[in-house]
Amino acid sequence: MKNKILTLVFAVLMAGLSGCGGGSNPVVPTVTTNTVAGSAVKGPYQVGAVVKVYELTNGVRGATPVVEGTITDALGTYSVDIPSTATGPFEIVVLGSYIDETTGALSTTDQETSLVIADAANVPAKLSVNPIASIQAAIVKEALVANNGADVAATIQSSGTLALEAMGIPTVDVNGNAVDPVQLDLFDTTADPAVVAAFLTASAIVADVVNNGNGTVADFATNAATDVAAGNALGTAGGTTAAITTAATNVAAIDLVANVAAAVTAADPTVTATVATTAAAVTTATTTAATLTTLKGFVLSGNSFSVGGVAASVDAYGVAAAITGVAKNAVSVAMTVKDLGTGTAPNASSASTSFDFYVKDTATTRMIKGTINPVKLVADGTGIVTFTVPAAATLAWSGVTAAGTSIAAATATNLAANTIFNTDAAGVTTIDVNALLTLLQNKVNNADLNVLNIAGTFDYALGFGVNLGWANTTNDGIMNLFPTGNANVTGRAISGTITTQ
Amino acid sequence: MFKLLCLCIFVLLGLPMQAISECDGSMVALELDRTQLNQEALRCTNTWLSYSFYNQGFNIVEAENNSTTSQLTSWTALRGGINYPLAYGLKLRGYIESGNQQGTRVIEPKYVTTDFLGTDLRLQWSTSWLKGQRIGIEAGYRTHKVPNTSYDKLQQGNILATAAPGKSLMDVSAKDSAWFVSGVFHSNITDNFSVHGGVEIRDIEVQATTTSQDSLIQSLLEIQQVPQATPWQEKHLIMNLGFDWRVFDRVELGVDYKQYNIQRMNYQIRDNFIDYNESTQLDFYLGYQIQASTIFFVHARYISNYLLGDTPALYNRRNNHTFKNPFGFITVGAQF
Repeated sequence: MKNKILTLVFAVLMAGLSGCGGGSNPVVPTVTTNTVAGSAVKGPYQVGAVVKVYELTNGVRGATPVVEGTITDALGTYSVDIPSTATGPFEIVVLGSYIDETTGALSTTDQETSLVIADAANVPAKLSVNPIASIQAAIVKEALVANNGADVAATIQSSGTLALEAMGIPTVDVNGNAVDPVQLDLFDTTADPAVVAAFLTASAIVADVVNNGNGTVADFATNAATDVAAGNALGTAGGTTAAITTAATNVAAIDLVANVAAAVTAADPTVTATVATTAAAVTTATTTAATLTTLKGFVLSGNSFSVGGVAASVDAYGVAAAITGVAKNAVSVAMTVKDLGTGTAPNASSASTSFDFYVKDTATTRMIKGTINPVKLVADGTGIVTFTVPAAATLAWSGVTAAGTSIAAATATNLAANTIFNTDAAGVTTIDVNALLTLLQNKVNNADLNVLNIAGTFDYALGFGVNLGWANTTNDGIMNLFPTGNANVTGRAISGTITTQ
Repeated sequence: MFKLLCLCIFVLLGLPMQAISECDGSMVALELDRTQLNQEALRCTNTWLSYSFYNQGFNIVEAENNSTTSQLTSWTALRGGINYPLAYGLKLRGYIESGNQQGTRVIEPKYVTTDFLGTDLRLQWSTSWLKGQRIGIEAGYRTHKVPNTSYDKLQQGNILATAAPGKSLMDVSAKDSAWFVSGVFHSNITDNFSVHGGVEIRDIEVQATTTSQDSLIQSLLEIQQVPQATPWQEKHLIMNLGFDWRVFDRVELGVDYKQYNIQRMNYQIRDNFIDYNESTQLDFYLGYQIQASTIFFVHARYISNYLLGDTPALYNRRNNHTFKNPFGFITVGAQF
């Protein structure tokens, strides 16, 4: 009897314990892989082409892929599962034969294109591996090699805009949405036909350059990235200026849409390939492509700007002369960005870009930097460029406080009510840095990151995700674009030192 | 700390040799830090040492509380105590403890380790009342201290702050102290079965300190409603009832029930969070007497609201929501 009672007591005791535990144990599903899928198009890669995913370490591709896959149909479709144990950023590389837009036949050589993603867990449902994304990837990798602490996501974004501009592809579609190189899809019938046409034309030009013995598609991307980073015209690094110009002429005479559609159907009769653009759009695109080797974009008018009314000249590398004597609460940058279109003539255009800023007190640990994304840029066709921050813009920021505390990348939204950017009728754009930092101060509810609230000497940098460059002596031509690669901001940078009082 | 505790225990072991020898011929009860007024407990000195532990493996039914983002992964406590008769019916009782708890959080700081030290010293006087029954009073002083712990990371919303190398973002510590008085009774129902109970009132002062040299971190901590900087007072009313049953000649089963009721004064509440003021505690003891004065025991404790009331220094307005959860642990030890 006693034994039975003892058994009962311990059963009760353990039942009591079974519900114990000082905290919760939420059931978390185990994620073992992240799927990355989409299409690979240098024209469409064909079945047999391989897909490899590499980890990037400081911008350098790992020795062995973390996962491999293949192209599964005539449209270049792929899907790979990246192990969650692998760490980004990743480069997704496709190598194989493809439908050559210029011939409508299978390519005679295997070629490589790639794209870069910051991580595998948060990616769109479809990612397009293509020659423009390859240029973007090459820019990103060069940036990460130069500065392994760079914000990967921000670098990918600004590099995408520069890659698009370099290849004459709109950065904004007909609906005003930003164009992303890794979303370019020949067969997406919901896409802007003008964007698809420009993409198809650019891809065909790359094919033509390669077909004429000027290196590989990967070489093209690497050289283009070098030119973009240095602010030089496309073709400078690879010595392919003439080949690109010739390719643009050649492509203009080819029915690219028909070539691709017919070749895909020939490769797989069960597939009806609908290229999401029109011959007319392609004609327009090929006209634009004729100027690929001409520097395109904007100049800092007069190669100077002012802060708080104190003017400073800017050299060809975007480095401004030291500025002194500015009131600490009057740190407002005034600059005129002049549109020169494709060299000397302005175009009516618009772009969706990002704006980076960096301010560091040279005497203390205080630093703040961030990215406003997107920033809309509109060129009115007469040369005047207007900057605005749309309602949906996000401010991503990080910093270091006076106590040396580092704040990792954080975000703030609802920037619509703020007037950081203002462009007047004459085209003078002001960037109110005090207001920007006050905005941050209010978001964080603390003044310590408003580094300009105490007078001192500061290193600063401004980064633009569009082609902004150095004007010629007559202020009507682009001598070179400001180089990318500033350690603290992405895009084309203007940097210097300012002393406030 | 462990070495110090062991040293104390051995010193204590050396003190009551005379008294122990008086008890060698009788069967002593499992006294520990419980309230025991039976005849053997009145005249026998005993010392005891116990080790209590909890880990997540005990949470065998995945006790859920989705409202909390933190989990206790382990909890341990080493206790040593003495029950020393000064005269018949007058006894000095006390123990010291050293513990550690480790937890995880979803956001930084993701790993939280808290040490705690405790003492309890009380004087017991008792007298016989009716045949086989005694009543008594106890009074004393108890303290807990959570030594300073530094953290170098903190997340608030989407802001993740990391301290400069060699520096900390914030320092956290806490302490409590209490005077208390209690009335106890003990009744031997049979030779092998007794019941006991009582009421204890504690007057406690608690202070939790969170400091940072960085004004930004101070601002973030303010958003998180860290524990108030000023001390607050608590009054605990603890009612207990239990029994001891000598199941076999060498086997003893003890069960104690405690109910905590808490009032707080000068305590700043946390917006949108409720404070917990009641807790139920159940203790099960199983002792095996290998010699007349040596008992090995296992002890299981169930607490309806974590350590509410038992260790006031661990409770504050920042972590009060975690006291919603039940808690339990196993103890092994010996009484000499």
